[in-house]
Amino acid sequence: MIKIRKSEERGHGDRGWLNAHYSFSFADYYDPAYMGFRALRVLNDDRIAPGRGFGPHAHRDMEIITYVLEGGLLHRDSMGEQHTLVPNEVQTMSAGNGIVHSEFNASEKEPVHSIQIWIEPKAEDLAPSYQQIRFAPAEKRGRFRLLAAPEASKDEPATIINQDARLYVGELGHEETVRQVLAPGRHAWVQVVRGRVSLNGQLLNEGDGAAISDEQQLTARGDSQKGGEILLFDLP
Amino acid sequence: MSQAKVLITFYSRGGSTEKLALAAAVGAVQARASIRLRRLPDAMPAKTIEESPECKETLERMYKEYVAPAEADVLWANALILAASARFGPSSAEWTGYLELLGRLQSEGKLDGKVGAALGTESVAVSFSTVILQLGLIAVPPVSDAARAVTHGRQIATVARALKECLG
Repeated sequence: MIKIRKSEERGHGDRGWLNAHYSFSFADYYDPAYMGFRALRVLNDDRIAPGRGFGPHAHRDMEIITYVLEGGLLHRDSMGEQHTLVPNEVQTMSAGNGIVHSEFNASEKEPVHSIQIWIEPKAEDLAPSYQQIRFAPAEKRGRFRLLAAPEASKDEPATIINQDARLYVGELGHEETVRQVLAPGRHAWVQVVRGRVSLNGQLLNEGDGAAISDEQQLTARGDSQKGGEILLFDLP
Repeated sequence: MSQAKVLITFYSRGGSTEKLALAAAVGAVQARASIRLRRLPDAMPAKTIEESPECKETLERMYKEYVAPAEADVLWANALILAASARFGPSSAEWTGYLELLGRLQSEGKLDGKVGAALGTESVAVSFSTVILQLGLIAVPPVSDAARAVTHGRQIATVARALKECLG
């Protein structure tokens, strides 16, 4: 069963410096029908104006993953971490028993386009941590590149999250196809972050998401001249 | 279980008092409080960088990252933490405006039942503790040790939550 979450039906917040689309309830957007999907609680599509951002604020008991599509996002936190996140990198912050951080557009000239993801952890009061990894653009071309997983992988370094969930990114050329098997009882969420992709024959446009249950296999195909880029969550 | 709301107000130029404030904020979050972090604006913004050129980068970052505390922040909070450096005590131009705001809110009865605590090096923490008593806040002893700032934040949030539950 595939249930599509249309891009234009997502929540929308416009603060001038921030133009955000919320797949699930967040901040001032509240819809009890969209409080998340399985362990995936938040999926925000943020565009942040040059030089602007989120001032220091706190998080607790959440696995927070950020993926940048364009520009650079400067992260600073109470553990003393300070890093700029750019495309073809992934950042995972385990808020654990408490963390304070800020996120700003690292540029005074260019906007930043990023996806922020919150996944509920399997336990509360864990120790906070910060991870950031970089990968070669080729690693996501025509395949699913692992970004986050509950355990370290020998083949492909990924960030570790405190939940039995996996996040992949895949970039597909026009009519290029990738497949992913879903284990029995597992669920998935697919988010099209760029271009257009068909998923098991259903067309998804940029910004569309899909909640997937009771499917054994996912087939994603690039469906526009420019192809498409998707995030795939394998969820308990 | 109700949630304590902790407002941490600080004045920092070089970032070390900001670090204390952040540590206290983390402690409050560990105690499951929600927090707001606010930096007091410079009394003379044009002169500040000139006076402290070594802090230029940190100051410019803090100007971007923080907003000044507003009356609504104070009204929102169950606990107020004041974090200060030795150089800028309660009578410094940076603090007077904020302390006047707190004084007015006290005279209107709007600080009743709120917890207050100071954070900073020993001398400044002691002078701010006097201010906290004068404001009629329910005082939690100050902490001047950076290593204990997290514990301090946790303790303040815990006291604020307990009081909130008792006072309804």
